[in-house]
Amino acid sequence: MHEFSVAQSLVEAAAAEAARHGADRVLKMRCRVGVLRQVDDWLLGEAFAIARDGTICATCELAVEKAYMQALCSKCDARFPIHNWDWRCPTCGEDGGSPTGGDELELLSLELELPDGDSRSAERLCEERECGP
Amino acid sequence: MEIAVLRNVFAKNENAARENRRRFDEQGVTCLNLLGGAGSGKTSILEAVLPLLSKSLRVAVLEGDLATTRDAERIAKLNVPVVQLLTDGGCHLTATLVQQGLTRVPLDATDLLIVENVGNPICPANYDLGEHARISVLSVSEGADKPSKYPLLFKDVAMVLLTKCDLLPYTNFDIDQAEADIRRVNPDCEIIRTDTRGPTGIDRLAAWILGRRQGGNRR
Repeated sequence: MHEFSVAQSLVEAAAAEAARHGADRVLKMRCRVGVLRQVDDWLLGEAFAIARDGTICATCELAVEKAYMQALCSKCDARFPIHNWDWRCPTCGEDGGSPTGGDELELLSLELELPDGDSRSAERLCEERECGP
Repeated sequence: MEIAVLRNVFAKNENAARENRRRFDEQGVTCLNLLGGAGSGKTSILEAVLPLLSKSLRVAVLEGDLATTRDAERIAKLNVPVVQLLTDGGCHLTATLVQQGLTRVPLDATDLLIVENVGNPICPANYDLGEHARISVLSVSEGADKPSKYPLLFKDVAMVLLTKCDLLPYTNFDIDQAEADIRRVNPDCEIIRTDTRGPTGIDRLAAWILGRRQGGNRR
């Protein structure tokens, strides 16, 4: 049950970003979670509802994108996702190897509510982020 | 408005892990993180290998557990300095928890620190503690399907110990299948077949740890 720890880390990371941008609220966050992390969607949702309480993310919606481990086919060079520990290439049936990914745990983007009268645009914020630490 | 962020969710834990690793490197300590499910034989492996390691190294142990000091008591009987880390129901150790434990470990008088993680095949694999290498433990009584069910436990580890191999005749554990599945996600790791009663493979484990120590703290 590391879902609570993941939820707490998401809220902390989002709150830090929101503070950097002077936002009033975090409306939505998108994250990517690799299946190897064995994070249960439902439990993460429940944990997130608790972890966000009383923070700048209190009304934040969470969108989770799943990422799969990918193998490389030894014959036709196709990359394919591993489901149910099946390592056969769906294109040619040959065995795949050299797995990559599946262990992602990333906060991808935030939808922020900025104070009234703040004229900074989304593009501007993104530029700031790229130039930032 | 939406902004692109791309942040590692566990950045806070990873910063603490980096800080731990920096301290280990400064003090010349090699740190190993021992992971595996409950009952896989982590403590028994330590009981078997610590006497061999203690001949030439100053060893200390951090014992992670949900509850009780039973494992720490077993290690203390070997006259190895041990600190119990209780998570009170938490299913894994974090780098911060290890940091707290380090206040009670004489790092300047330690060559090798072994952290025995909470018995759990899932959560601990998600948390870098600042170790230089991970060793995963899988017992033959758990079943050969475990590498396919918990791949993260075997993915970024330097070594996998297959334990309780003396029980092989009494199980349907397909050891070749287990090894092949481990190699799927980790082609280069060492795999040692062990049992602590024989004992089997414990000399090899001790030699590997000593070699690793002499080779410096590369990750």
